[in-house]
Amino acid sequence: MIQISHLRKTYNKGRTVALEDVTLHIPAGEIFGLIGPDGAGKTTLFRLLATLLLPDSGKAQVNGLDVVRDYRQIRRCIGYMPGRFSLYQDLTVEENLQFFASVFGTTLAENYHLIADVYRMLEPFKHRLAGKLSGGMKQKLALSCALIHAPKVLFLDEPTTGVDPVSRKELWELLHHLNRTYGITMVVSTPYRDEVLQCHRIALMEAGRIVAVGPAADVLPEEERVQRTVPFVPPGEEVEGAIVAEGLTKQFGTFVACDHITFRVHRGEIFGFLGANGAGKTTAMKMLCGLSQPSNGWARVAGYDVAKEYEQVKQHIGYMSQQFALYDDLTVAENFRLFGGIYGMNRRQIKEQFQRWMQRLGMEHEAHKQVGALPLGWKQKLAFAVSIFHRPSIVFLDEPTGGVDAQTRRQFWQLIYEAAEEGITIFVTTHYMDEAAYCDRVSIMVDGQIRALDTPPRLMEQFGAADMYGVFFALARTAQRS
Amino acid sequence: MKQFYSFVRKEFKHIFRDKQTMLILLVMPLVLIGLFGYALSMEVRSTRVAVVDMQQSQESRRLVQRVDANAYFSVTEYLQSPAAVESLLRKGRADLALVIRTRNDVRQGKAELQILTDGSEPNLAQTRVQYLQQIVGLTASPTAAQPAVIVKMLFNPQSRSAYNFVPGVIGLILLLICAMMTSISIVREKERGTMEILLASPLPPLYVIVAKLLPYLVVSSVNVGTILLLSYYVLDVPIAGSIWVFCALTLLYIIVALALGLFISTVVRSQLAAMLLSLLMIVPAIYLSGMVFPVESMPEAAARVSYIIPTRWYIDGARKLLIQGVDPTHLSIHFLVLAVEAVVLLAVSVKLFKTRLQ
Amino acid sequence: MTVLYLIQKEFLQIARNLLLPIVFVVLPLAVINGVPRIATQEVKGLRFCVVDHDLSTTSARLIQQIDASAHLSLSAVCHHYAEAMEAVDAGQTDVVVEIPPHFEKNLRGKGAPNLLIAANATNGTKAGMAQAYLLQIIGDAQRALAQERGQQSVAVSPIAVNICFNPQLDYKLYMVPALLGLFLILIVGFLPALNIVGEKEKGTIEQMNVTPIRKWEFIVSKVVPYALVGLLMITEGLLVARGVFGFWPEGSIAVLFLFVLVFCMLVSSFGLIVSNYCQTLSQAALTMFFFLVIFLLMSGLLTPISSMPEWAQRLTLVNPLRYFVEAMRAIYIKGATLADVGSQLLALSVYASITWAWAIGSYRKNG
Repeated sequence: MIQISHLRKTYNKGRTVALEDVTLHIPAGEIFGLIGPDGAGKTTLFRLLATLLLPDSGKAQVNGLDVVRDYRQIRRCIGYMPGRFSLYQDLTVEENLQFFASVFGTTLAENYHLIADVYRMLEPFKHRLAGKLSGGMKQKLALSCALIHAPKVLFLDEPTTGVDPVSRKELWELLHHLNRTYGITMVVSTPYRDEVLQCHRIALMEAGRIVAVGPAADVLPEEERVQRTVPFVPPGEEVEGAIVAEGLTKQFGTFVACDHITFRVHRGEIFGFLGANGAGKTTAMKMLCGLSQPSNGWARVAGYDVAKEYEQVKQHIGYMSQQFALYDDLTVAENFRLFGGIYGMNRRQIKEQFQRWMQRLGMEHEAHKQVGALPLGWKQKLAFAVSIFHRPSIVFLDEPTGGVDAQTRRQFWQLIYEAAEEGITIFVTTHYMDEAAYCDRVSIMVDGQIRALDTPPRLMEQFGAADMYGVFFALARTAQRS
Repeated sequence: MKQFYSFVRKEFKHIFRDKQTMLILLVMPLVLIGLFGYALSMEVRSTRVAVVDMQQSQESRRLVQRVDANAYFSVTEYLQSPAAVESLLRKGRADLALVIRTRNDVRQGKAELQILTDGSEPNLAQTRVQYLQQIVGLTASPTAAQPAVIVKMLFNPQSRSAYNFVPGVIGLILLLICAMMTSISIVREKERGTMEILLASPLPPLYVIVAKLLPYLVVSSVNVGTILLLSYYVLDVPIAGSIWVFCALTLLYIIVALALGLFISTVVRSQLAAMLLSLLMIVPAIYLSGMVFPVESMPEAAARVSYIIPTRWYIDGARKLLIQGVDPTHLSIHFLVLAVEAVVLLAVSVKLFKTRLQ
Repeated sequence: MTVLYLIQKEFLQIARNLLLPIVFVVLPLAVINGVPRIATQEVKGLRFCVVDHDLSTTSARLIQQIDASAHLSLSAVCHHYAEAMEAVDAGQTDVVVEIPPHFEKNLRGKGAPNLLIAANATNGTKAGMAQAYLLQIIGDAQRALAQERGQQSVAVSPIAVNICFNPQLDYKLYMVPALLGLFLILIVGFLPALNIVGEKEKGTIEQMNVTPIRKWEFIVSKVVPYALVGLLMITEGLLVARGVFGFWPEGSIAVLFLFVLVFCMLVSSFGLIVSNYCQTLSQAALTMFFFLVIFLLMSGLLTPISSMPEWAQRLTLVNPLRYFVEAMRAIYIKGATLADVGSQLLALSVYASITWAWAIGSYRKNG
C-alpha cells in the first residue's frame, strides 16, 4: 500500500535535514506505528505521504500512486488527521462533518456506517460549536472528519495527544474495528506506549532516519521506570497541608463544573489530580491558583485563602499551563530572568540559579537560543524549570507532558522527583497512567466530584485493578457527562 | 459543484458567527456616510471676527454691522488696539480680525482697513480673506461698468462636499473589507492548521480561492448598496450616469480588491502580518487616491505613483459616473486599468497559492 | 522592581520583531516627508478652457492674463460651449470661461457684458477656489483696462492683509503637527492593544496572571515601552520636518511634549480598553480602526471643525482628539503658551483619567 525508498527531505535550503534515506514498505491492511522522539521527522514523513510536501530526492508511493506526480488521485483516497487544530472551532459538530463530507464529494449519509460508532458518541452535542468540545470529543470529531470519505489509507499524527485514557481507548477500539471490517491501512504516531503496542508493526525513528522496523514487542525498547529515591512519609495531622480544599465549588450558570470537592495535599507530596476531559480538573486548578473565584466553599493554598488572599497565593506557587507558556521570541536566559524578576529575585540570585539549572538540564549551549527554536520536549523541561525557579512551596503542573516522547517524560519525572525532594509540593494533572503511578497519592475526578483519593497501590487494590488504567476505567465508566 | 456550494456556506457561517466583526462591517459605512455627508466639509461656515474700530465713525460702524450681518461672519470681540489681536488669534478665540484705522493714520499713509487672519489653516484663511474683501470692497466702490460674471457650478450647484466624498467612502470601504478581511480570513486557516486538511483533500485550489472570496464580495456589495441608497435618498447625491455602468465598474474594483487580499494572503503567514501588510497598502491608497486630497495637487512623483493605485481609478470613475454623469466611453481607460490589474493580481496570486505546504 | 523586568521583556520582544524596529525608524521619515506633500488641499494646476465668441484684442488679453496666473493654465480653446463641456466630461479641463460676442464693445459702452464661468463642482472646494481666482483676475484686468483708458477709476479703499503665523499659507505647515499625533495613535494606541490580544491568543497571558505581578505593573509594562518609542518617533518627526521643510515649533518644546505625554496616556488606555473586550487580533484591529476613524474625522485633522454644522461642532467637544490636534497646531504653528492651551490640557487630562479608570477596571486577573 505504501512504498517508500531512499526518501530525503531538508528545510532551510538544505541546512536542516528532516528525513535521510528513509525506506519503508507498509502492506495494505496494516496498522503501522511511527515512533520516535520530537524532531525525529515523523510529521515531515506524514506530510510527504499526504502530498503536502515535496521530497528532495527518493520516491514514495501511496496506493500505487506517486506522491509527486499523482498527488491529485492520492488526495482522493487518503484521510489525514494532523496533530491538533484540524477543526473549524466556530462551526458546530454537525457542520464540521457535513463540510468535510462535501469537500470530498460525499455526504454524511453515504458513509455513515464508517463513523457510526464515533458519531453516536458525538450526536448529543451535534449543535455545539467544535471550539466548545472537550479535548477527547474534538479528536473523535476530527477522526470522523478524516473518515467521512471512506479513505483507503489513514494518516494519524498523534491523534490522542491531550485525550484522557477512556477516550483514547474508545478511539483505538474504533481504529481496530475500521481496520478489521474495512481493511483500512493506518499509519499512526503516538507517544503512548500502550498504543504503540497495539500497532501491527512499528518503525523507530531518530534524527530523520529509521533505526528499526518490526513488531512493536520486538522493536520497542524496554521501558525504564523512574524511582523516587527518598520515599514520601506523610506528616502528622497537626501540620496544615500545603493545599486544603473544603467543599470547593465553581458554577457557570446552571452548570456545576466543580462540585464540592474536599481534599488535602501534604507538604512535599506529589499529588496526582486525574480525571477525564471535561471532568473539571482545569476549573479546580484555576481556583487553587487564584485565577478564578470559587462560587462556594473555600480552599487554602500555602496557608492563604484563594478567594481573598489570591495575590499572596500567587507569590508562593509556581504554575505551568497546558499550553506552552514561555515566550517563544525570548532566549532561554531572558525567560528565566523575566520570571525570576517577577517573583522578586535579585540579579545575582537569578544568575547563580540560572547557571545551576542549565547544568542540571544539560542545556548550557542553548542558554542564548530563542525558545521558539527548541524541540517541544526541551521546552516543557524549561517551562517546568521556570515554574520552580523562584523556589515556590507548591507547583501546579497542568498536563506538563502532553505530546512529549517517552524518554523526555522520564527525564521530566526525574526533575519532578528532585524538586519534591527539595521540599516542593507537586500538584500535577496527566493523562498518562504510568505517570499516575509515579505520584505519592492520586485523586480521580468524575463529573466535577472527587470519586477516589489514595495512594496508587491502595487504589489498585480497592478497585481490583492491575494498573492505574484499570482504576481509571472503573471510575470513568460511571461518568454521566462528557 | 456541491463541494463548492458547501464551502461557500461554511465561509458565510464564519463571518456571521463573529457578531462583533459583522456589526462593525455593517455599521461602518453608515457612520462614514453620516459623517462625510453631514459633518465634514471644507466650506467656510462660521468665522469669528474680532473688530478693532479705532475710527469710531458712522461709516466704520456701518461697515462692522454689514460684516456681522453676513452669513459667514459674526463679530465676537471688540478690541481697543491692534496689539491684542495676535494673542487672540493665538489662543484660537477668533479666526480673523478687522482693523479700521483713524483718518489721521490714513493720512500718514497707513491703510484704512487691515485684515489679520490666522494662517494656520491655509485654505480657510485664504477663502475668508477673499470673502471679507468682497464684503468690504462692495461698500467702498459703487459699481462701475464691471462685467457681470455669471458663475455656474456644474453638476453640484451647491458645492456640497458630500458629492465628492461618497465615491471616496465607497472606494475605501471596499478596499478595507475586500483586501484586509479576505487576507486575514485566508491566513487564519493557515494559522489554525485547517488549511493543511483542505490541501490534503481533493478540493481544487481554485474552489478554495473563489469560496473564500465570494462571501466578502457579497458583504461588500451589500455595503455599496446601503451607501448608494443612503446617499441618494438621504444626502441627495445624484446618480447622474448609468447605474449599470457604475455597478460594472464597482464589481471590477471589488475583484481587484479581492485579488489584492488574496495576494497578501499568499505572501504572509500570520494574521498580524496580513493585517499590517494590508494597512501598509490601504493607507497610501487613502492618501494617493484623490479620496480626500486631489491628485492634481500632488507633487509630480506622487501623482505618477497614484496611477497604479486602483482606488484612484475607481474613485475618479465613480465621481464621473455618479456626479457628472459622463458618457461611459470616457471611462474606457478606467475599466482598462482596473481589468489589467485584476488579471495580473489574480494570475500572480493563483500561481503563488500553493497546493502544498511551504 | 518587578516592573523593570517586564519592561525589559517588552523591549526585547520589540527588538526581536522583524518588522517593528524598521517601522519605528522609517514611519516618521516617510510620513513627515511624504504625507504633507501629498495631503494638500491647496488647489493648483487648475486647467481652464475658453470659448471665445468675441475674438477681440481685449478677450485675447484677458485669456493671456488668466493663463499667466500661477493657479490656472489654459488647456484648450473651444469653439462651442458644447465642445467645452465635452472636455469637462473627458476630464481634460476643470473650468470653462465663455466670453460672449461683443465683449469688447460692450465693455466700452454701457451694456453689461456677461462673462460665464462654469466650474466642475464635483469637488466643491476646487470649484470654489477656481471661481475665486478667476473673479479676482477678471476684476484686476477690468480695473487695469479702465485706468489705461484714463477713465476715472473708482477709488477702492486699499485693504492691507496680514496673514499671521503662516504667511505663505503653507498647507504642509498645517499638516505636520497633526501628523505627529497620528504616529502616537498607531504606536501607542494600536500596538499595546494588539500585543495584549496576541498574548491572549497564545496563552502566555495566563502564565502572567498566576504570577504575583500587580495589575498596574502589567499595564505599565505594556504601555511604557511603546510610549517611549512614541516620544522618540515624535522627536524624529520634529527633526525630519526641520530638515526637509525647515519647520520648527514656534512654541515651547516642553509644552509640546507635555501634550504628547498626556495624549500617550489617553490613547494607550483606549487601546487597553479595546484589548480587554476583544478575543482575537482581527476583532481588536477592526474595533480600533472603527473608533479611530471616527475620532480622527471628527478631530479637525483633515477638515476644519469650524466648517462643520453646529451640532457636529458640539459633538467634537466630546472627542479628546480634537483638543490634541487643536493644541498641537496652536503650539507648533502659532507659538501658543501653556496658558493659551490650558483648557485643552485640562480637557485631555480629564479624558485620560476617565479612560484609565475604565481600562484598569475592565482588566480582570481573577474572574
